[in-house]
Parts: sequence; structure tokens; C-alpha cells
Amino acid sequence: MIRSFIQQMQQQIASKEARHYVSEEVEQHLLHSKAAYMQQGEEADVAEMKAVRDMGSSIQLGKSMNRLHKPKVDWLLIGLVLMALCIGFIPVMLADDSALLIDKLIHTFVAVAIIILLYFADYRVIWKGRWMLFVLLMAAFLIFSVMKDMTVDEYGVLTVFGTFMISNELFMPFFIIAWAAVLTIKLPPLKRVIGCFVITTCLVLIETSVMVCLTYISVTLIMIISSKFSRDQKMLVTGVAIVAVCTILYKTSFIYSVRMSTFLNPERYAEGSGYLTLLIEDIVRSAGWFGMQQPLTIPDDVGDFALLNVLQHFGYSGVIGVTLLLGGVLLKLLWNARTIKQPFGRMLVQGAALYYGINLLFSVLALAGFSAFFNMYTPFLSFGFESLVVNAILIGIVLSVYRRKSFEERMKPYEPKPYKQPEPLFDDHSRVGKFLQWFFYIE
Amino acid sequence: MANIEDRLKRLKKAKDDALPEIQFTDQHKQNIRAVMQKEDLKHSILTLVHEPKSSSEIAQLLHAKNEQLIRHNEGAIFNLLHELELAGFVEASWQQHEQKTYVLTKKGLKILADEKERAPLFSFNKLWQEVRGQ
Repeated sequence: MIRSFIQQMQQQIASKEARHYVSEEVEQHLLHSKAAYMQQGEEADVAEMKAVRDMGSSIQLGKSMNRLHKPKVDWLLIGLVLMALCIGFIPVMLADDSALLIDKLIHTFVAVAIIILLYFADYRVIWKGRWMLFVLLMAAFLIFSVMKDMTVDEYGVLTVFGTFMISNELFMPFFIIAWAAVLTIKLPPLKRVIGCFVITTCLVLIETSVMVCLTYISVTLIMIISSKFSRDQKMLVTGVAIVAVCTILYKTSFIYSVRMSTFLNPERYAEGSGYLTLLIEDIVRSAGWFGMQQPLTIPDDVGDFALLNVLQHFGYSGVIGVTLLLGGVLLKLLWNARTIKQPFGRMLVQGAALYYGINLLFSVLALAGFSAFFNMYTPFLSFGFESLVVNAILIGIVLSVYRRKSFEERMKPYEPKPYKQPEPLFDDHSRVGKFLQWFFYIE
Repeated sequence: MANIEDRLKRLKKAKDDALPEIQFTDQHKQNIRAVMQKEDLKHSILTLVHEPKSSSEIAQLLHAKNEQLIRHNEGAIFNLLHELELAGFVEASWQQHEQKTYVLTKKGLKILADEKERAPLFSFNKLWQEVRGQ
């Protein structure tokens, strides 16, 4: 009886996850009321029949559950990302290079495929194998680094099939996933977390660029700070992070001393590193609202300097438009991070929003006069297989979390909270209370 | 809380004042009654889950209160519980190998404590939409 009731109900529910989610609960309920009837002295069959009768119509229940638990699609984010993918073609169009255009088309196609794939994949599976994922990631990172040293070009970039250039940055979204899983354990083990933080930071420090490393450290640190560690523990991790950042600055002190002097007086270095700073200042000053009459030649105008290229062709209005669109994606990600209830899902979205947001912030800051310190790479706008894939993975995960946001995660056991009677705003017998009761027709 | 008849009268008066040209048919009245019963049931479920309770316990308590809407229709409880959960008024959690339990959230507490805040539970707009839609 119970089986057939559940089956009838399931037939009305379209989404597989919703089906499992609802069935388990309803089955438990039915078994409980069957047991209750049996305690009253009914036969097993009769008890089951009565339990099912009490539930009412299985089809009606299934239909209403189906209406409530439709997979949630974040159309706003999808729309914004599609528009962002489209504006990615602007720098390539401006460059007027058909080979580049074909590459860009292939990259965009792969990115969309990744987003769709991740949207349908159930992210919750990862939570069970979180430490395994961490270890595997570190191993893969090391293996990739060693392999890369044997096969890469002089820039540390591995090229696959001619157009897919990848480096260690590709591991960043996976590290964010692993961190999100590890940090949402009820009592995260401090020593292990610090160990993982130190080891991964060292790996990232050795194998990727300074910008990626700083982004990684800040994202991870903020995620750790928003986890369930106590204040002292968070201070400890922050201390470790500060040491790591100091190490980076020390390691790159030569570059940064040059950059600092370039930043302070670009004219003195106009022949060398100050050239770019001056060029950017020049374009920012003369671009106007609708672009320059005769655009200048800038290096890497589809990649790192794509936003600058947009500025000189379309002026401030173009840059503001692009920034608003990409900022809209960021705002939507942050909003999702606020509204999603499941701890793991929320941490994932938060990590994705942070990684994307920091990249966006750097690229806008670079235009605002800090180009000596920050790379100009802009998410979605800049040409590049790796950056597009990284962003596609992040967006795919966020959509996957959003799709399942109404399903409670089962791993969270109930923690009893002491119940506190709410303080009444006004005593019922006071004059104000009586007036309010009269005013709002409350009996 | 006033009973359903009183509230219906008040609603009809409000409607007559605001939208005199719209006919208030018996069908409308029935629909409103159904919606109001559902909302009342929602409210009484909310008052039951100050402490975490499973759906079976909720059903038993509602039967004890002689709630007509769930006689031979306990499925309605799940419907309402899930609606309340999606709205953020209650929070569900699974106890190990046990039933799923529901408990009031801060938002739910606030809405119960402050009758004025019942607006989202019982908004005229939403109600009118449902009445017109059915």
C-alpha cells in the first residue's frame, strides 16, 4: 500500500532530486502512522490501509509538491552571463583577425558546455569525499607542474590542440570547491586546515603568477574567516596568511620596488616599464565619453588590455557599460551567497563570487591608475581559454547550487537550541497595547 | 484572530469601497474561504513548531484540535510545511535515522510574535490573485 502510494506520488514529480527528497519524508510519516495504528491493536494490513487513507490523495500531493519543488533556474544570472560571453567578442572584433575569432568561438562553446554540464551535475556528491579531493588536487597540481616543465613554452603555459592554453590557474576553482567542502564541516579540524592552507599556498606561490597567488590567498582567507572557527583560530590563520603574503612580497621585492617607483614617477621610466603606465594615463585622459578619434596601438589588446581597448574605442560609456554588466554578475553572485541556506552551497557560491570579484576589481583598478601593480585581465572580456574556463566552472557551480537550493542537505544533524519566549513589544494591558489592538482589529 | 465569517465581511466591505465595479460572486467567496482556511492552517502549524516536531506529531496535534482540513488529507500538511520552509518561516532538519523535524526560524518567530507582521502570510494582494486565478 505504502509503496504504491509513494510510487503514484512520484509519478507526478518531474525532478529526480525532488522525488527522492519528498518520498523519504512521506514514507517515514506513513510508517509512523502505521505503527501508531498497530499500537492501537490493528492488524498490519489494516493499519497500513488506514495510514494511507489518512494521507489523502497521492496524486494531489505529488502535484502540489511538483509545483513547489521545481528545479530553480537562475534566469537573471544566466542572462547576465550570456551577455558577458557576448561582450567577450568585442575585443576580438576590434582586432579584426578571423583566426582569433574562430578560437574565441571555440572557447565560448567549450565554456557554455562546461556551464551546462556543471548545472546538471549534483555538487553535493563532493562533500563526502572532501579530503580525498584535496589530496588528489594537490597531487594533480604537482604532477601538472612537473609535466608542464617538460612540455611548456618559455612562459610556463601548456598548449593543447593549438588553441587551449592552460596553466596552473586552472586548478583554482577546484581548490575553491575543496575549501568550501572542508570548511563547512561542523567542527573543522584546525591543524589540518592550516596544514592544507600552508601547503597549497606554497604550491600556488611556486607555480603560478603573483596575481593568482594573491587572489588565492585572499579568497581562501575570507572563506576561512566566514567559517565556523572561533575568533582566535581565525586570527591564527590570518597570521599564517600574512606571513605568506610577506613571503610573496619578499620574493618579488625586486619587481615591486621597480613597480613602486614606476607608479610614483612614470615619466622617469618612460622608456621601460613606465611606458605602459603613461600609455594608459594618456588613453584614460583622452578617451572622452565616446572614444578616441584615432585609437592607439596597445600591446595585447584582446587579452590583458581588452578593457583599455574598449576604453579607447568606446570611451567612458563603453567601459561603464562593461563594468556595470560584469558588476551585475558579481552582485547576483553575492546575492545568491546571501540567500542560499545550505552551508556547503553557500560557501561554494561565496568562494566563486570572491574569486570572480577580485579579478574584476583588479582589472578596473588597473584602469584607475594602479596598472603598475595589477594585471589588466578582465573576466569574460579578455581573450583567453583558461580564464574563460575558470569563470565558466565558477558560474556552473553557482547555477548548480541554485538549482537545488530548496533541498535541505541531509548531512546536517539537528542541534537543539534553547528556546526563548519572544518579548512582547507592548504589554497587552497597557494603553499602547490596547490602542494597537483596537487599531489593527486584533482580538 | 477573528473568525472567517467576520473577516470575509470585512474583506467584502473593503472591496466594495475600493473596487465597486467588480462582482463578488459565490465562487469568489468559496475560493476566499478555501484560501483563508489554508492560511489559518498554516498559522496553526506555525504555532505548533516552537519546539522541533516531526510531521507525524504535527498531524496528531492537528487531529486533536479537530482540524477539518486535514481529515483524510494529511498530505496537505507536507504541502504547507514545505511552503513555510521555502518562505523561511520554519527550518527542517533530519535527525539520525529518524523523521524530518521542523522548527520555527527567527523569521517565523517574529511573524508569530508580531501580529502586524502577518502581512506576508496573509496579504490581500496574494489572496486576491489566488481568488481570481482559481
